[in-house]
Amino acid sequence: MPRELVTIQVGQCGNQVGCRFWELALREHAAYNTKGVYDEALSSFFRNVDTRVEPPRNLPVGDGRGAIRTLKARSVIVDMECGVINEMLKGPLGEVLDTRQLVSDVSGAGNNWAHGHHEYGPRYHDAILDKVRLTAEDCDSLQSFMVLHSLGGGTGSGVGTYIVRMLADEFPGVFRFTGSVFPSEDDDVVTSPYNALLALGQLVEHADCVLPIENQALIDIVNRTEAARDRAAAADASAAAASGLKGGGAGSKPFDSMNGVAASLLLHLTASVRFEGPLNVDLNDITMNLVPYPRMHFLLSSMSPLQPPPKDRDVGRQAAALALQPRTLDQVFGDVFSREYQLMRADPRAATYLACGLIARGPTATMADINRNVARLRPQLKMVHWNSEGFKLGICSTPPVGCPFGLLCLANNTAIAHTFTTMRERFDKLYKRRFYTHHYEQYMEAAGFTSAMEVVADLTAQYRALEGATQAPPLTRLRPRGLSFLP
Amino acid sequence: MPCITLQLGQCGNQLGCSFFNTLATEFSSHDYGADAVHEYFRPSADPNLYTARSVLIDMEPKVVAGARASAAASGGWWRYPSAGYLVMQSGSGNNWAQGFHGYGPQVHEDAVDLVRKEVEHADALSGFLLLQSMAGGTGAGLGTYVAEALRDEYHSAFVANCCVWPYESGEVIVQPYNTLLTLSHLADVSDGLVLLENEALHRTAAKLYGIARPSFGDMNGIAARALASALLPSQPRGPYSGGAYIAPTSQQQQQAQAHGHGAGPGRNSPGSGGGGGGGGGVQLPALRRADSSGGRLGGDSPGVGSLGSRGGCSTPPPAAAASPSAPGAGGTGGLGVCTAPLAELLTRLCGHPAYRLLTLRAVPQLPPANIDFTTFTWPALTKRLRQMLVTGSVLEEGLDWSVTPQSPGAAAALGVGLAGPTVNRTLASWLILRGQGAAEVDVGEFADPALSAAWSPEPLSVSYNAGRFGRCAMSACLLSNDRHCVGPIQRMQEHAYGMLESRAFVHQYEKYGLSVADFQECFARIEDIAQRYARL
Repeated sequence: MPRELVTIQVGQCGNQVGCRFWELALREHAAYNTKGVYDEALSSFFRNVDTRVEPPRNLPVGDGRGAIRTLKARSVIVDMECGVINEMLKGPLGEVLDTRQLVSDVSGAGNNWAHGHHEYGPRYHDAILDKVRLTAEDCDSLQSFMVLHSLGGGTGSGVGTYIVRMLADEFPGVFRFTGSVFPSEDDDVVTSPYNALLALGQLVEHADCVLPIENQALIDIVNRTEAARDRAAAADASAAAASGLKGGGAGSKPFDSMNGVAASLLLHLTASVRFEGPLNVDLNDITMNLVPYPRMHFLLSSMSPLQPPPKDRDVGRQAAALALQPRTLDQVFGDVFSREYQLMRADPRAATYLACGLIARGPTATMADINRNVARLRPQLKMVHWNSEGFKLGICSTPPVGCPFGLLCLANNTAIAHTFTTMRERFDKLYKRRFYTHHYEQYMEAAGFTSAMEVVADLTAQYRALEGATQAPPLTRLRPRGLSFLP
Repeated sequence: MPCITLQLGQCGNQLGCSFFNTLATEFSSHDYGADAVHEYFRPSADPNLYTARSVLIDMEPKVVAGARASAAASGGWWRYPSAGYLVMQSGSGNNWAQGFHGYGPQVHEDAVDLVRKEVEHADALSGFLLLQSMAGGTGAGLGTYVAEALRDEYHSAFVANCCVWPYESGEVIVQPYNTLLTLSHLADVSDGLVLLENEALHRTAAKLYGIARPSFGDMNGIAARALASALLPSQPRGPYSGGAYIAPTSQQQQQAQAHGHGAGPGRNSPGSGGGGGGGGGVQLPALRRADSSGGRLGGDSPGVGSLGSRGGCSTPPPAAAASPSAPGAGGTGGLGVCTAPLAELLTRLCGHPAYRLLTLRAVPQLPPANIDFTTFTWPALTKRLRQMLVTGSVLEEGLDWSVTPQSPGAAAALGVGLAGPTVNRTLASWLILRGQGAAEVDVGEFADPALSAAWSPEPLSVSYNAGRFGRCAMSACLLSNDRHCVGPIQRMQEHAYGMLESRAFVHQYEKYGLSVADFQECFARIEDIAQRYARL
């Protein structure tokens, strides 16, 4: 009965984020579904399968009180090399992820967007489409696809964007959300500027809504949280004695926690679809209210709390982690508009907001709280003149795990134009001298580069045009019919 | 005469649940007669349970399920009909065009079918009450479509809308578009639109009810109480003391006909309870107008005319006299009581096709805990209510007492500012008094000619009911067709014009067939409405 979301995880990054997402989703549902019934909330992400019969039979939600047999994730897993996927299937998620939904190859896409998009894409078109169709048929009423991928590599960016285009053709009525991980300045992959820009060109045209996430921002967030947690734990005498552990993932790229942050974003986004609340926000509400012009569908996201507290063995560290959660609802509002909680390295307050959506979670959140905080913070924000007051608000009664309230902010903000400009600069540095382009020209024509450049340049110009457009031009009012003699 | 309620969208469903709960509480606490209960509830197979005459429609399933579950779980004596609801899965996405052009035709058959089944349960249909919000997609878009469909199917039944105006600070970014599109369409289709403003309800809850952080549930409760106070049955009476229709100065001329007046609608004497407007039978408009305009024109002949008409229908219709026995019908409850209050209200208040927006004001606005400790007096209530009407405010506090109907700004103001007109003017109002002494109290100050437009034929109607409402010893409610709505409409227009100039979000509506020209036509219609009200 309820609205289902199908997740398509592509490439190494996409799959790792996807794995963390499934872990966190299971954890969240386990926290709220103490009786182990297969209710509508679970049905958005999971199928209930009776594996005792052959072929395994899907059990419907019915009246929402049937017991859970085996949960299988509604997901399609795509990767052109099998290392990451095999790891996943061997781990605890092997039961939840269905091997029927897997499309893989052996040799990988070599960090080459064109190899992924023009070679593997068409080659696996039918296989991928088949799996997607199977998953979609298992759904009663499919609401949207969520594609998780990165833009810097070959598979995630190439095959991922190929899939987005394919979904636009085959399932035009279903929303296509993407969680796209943008490469940072010091990315490991040399050709990431090419891959990113080429992928971006595709996303501008074929995705309904893109949630950009930047690796560097995630690293900063995780390092900050770890440092604060270490300080808090060290301050606690008993914890200092008992903890021989160093913080998990204290290396320079703690991917596990970073992926956790990205995965939390998806949980908050779909909270109102899965759980009830006084003011529900569906995914189509989000696209309607936050996308003023067809191509300007890039939403900067920020949220508080950033990730659920880890299940730490150490009680002291666990307590310290919980102590770092936001204390009041007002505090989360302040957090969400500040630089440190953004998932992109951008300062939205310095740029102009075209639209802003706030989804509050928690049983104690009311319109009064949201209005009060918006009124408090609104003077610090620059809003475009035709939307000077407008916020899209939503309230969901179920809080995130580990914190009594939470807030997600999705902003369509002109700061993204800076990101695009930086990407274009990095691209130009390589393209000026045509470094590495021969790898791409094996699979596509040179015109592919120029068309992507044009598309992105157009969009950047559109965003820039709206930057600082906070003053309204004089309006022409319509004359009332029959009273046109009025001055 | 039964009235069927349609709850559309999340807001409509939540408000509808509150509304039926309030009605149920009131019917349990005071006996209004079986007819009154049958207006909104019908008997079901289970003798202890009634079923609400309601159809629930939403484009996503959670809210309707919640409403039905809460009605079933509340332990009260009413339930929603087991099959009277329509849900889809994907929601309307806050898109008016998706609700109107997208889902409208798709659910037309099913929705009309559901309504038909509900109508068949009723032996006579007076009309429909639609509860919806204006800012969203389902309540606004699909709600408008359903209103038009009902108007087509049921020519003789009225279509009343109770629309919730969104917060000024915004709940939905495209609310200017959605609100104005809804208003422009409903202005032609609906027989009367009661506008409930979220902002006003919020301030009422925060300041007067003492709720620090009002939730939608609290605000729905306040709105439901105000609506119920207007829609529960009441008997017509005159505005002057003792229920007279004529001002006291000409009272001596009426002494000769004192017996006629004495037996008139002001008194609860059984046997001649019929009188005035709605004693269950249909009255010819000419006679009815003579009755109530007696107070304005004064003099002899209207008195004679009114006596004649009153005499003519002072024999109560047999149906009212032989009140059916259901929930313990007492003596005065069933007689002479307006059995189709909503139809009456709309006929009197929305007589002109260009003026259909109604404002609802209810006093006292007290937290329930304080009711037992408050002394109620009629002068206090009516004075405040009148000042609320004069200033246009919907709240009982923060009233500006320096404003009078004679203040500057009362005259038809060209180019009324964004704050709205400073002095309110009505086309018609209906004052409903409830509680002890409601039959006799003098509310002549509401009949002040300066309060209403000069060309208005019946500016004031008054009715009363001796039963208590909401445990308050005395309470009053005023439903008026006045120009308070101009302020919010103009502020919304500013936003909408700004958005349309930049063509923001227009592509979302174009997906469903709405074009820029449609927007402009709709805005022109709204300008019409606002200008007419401003010059009232």
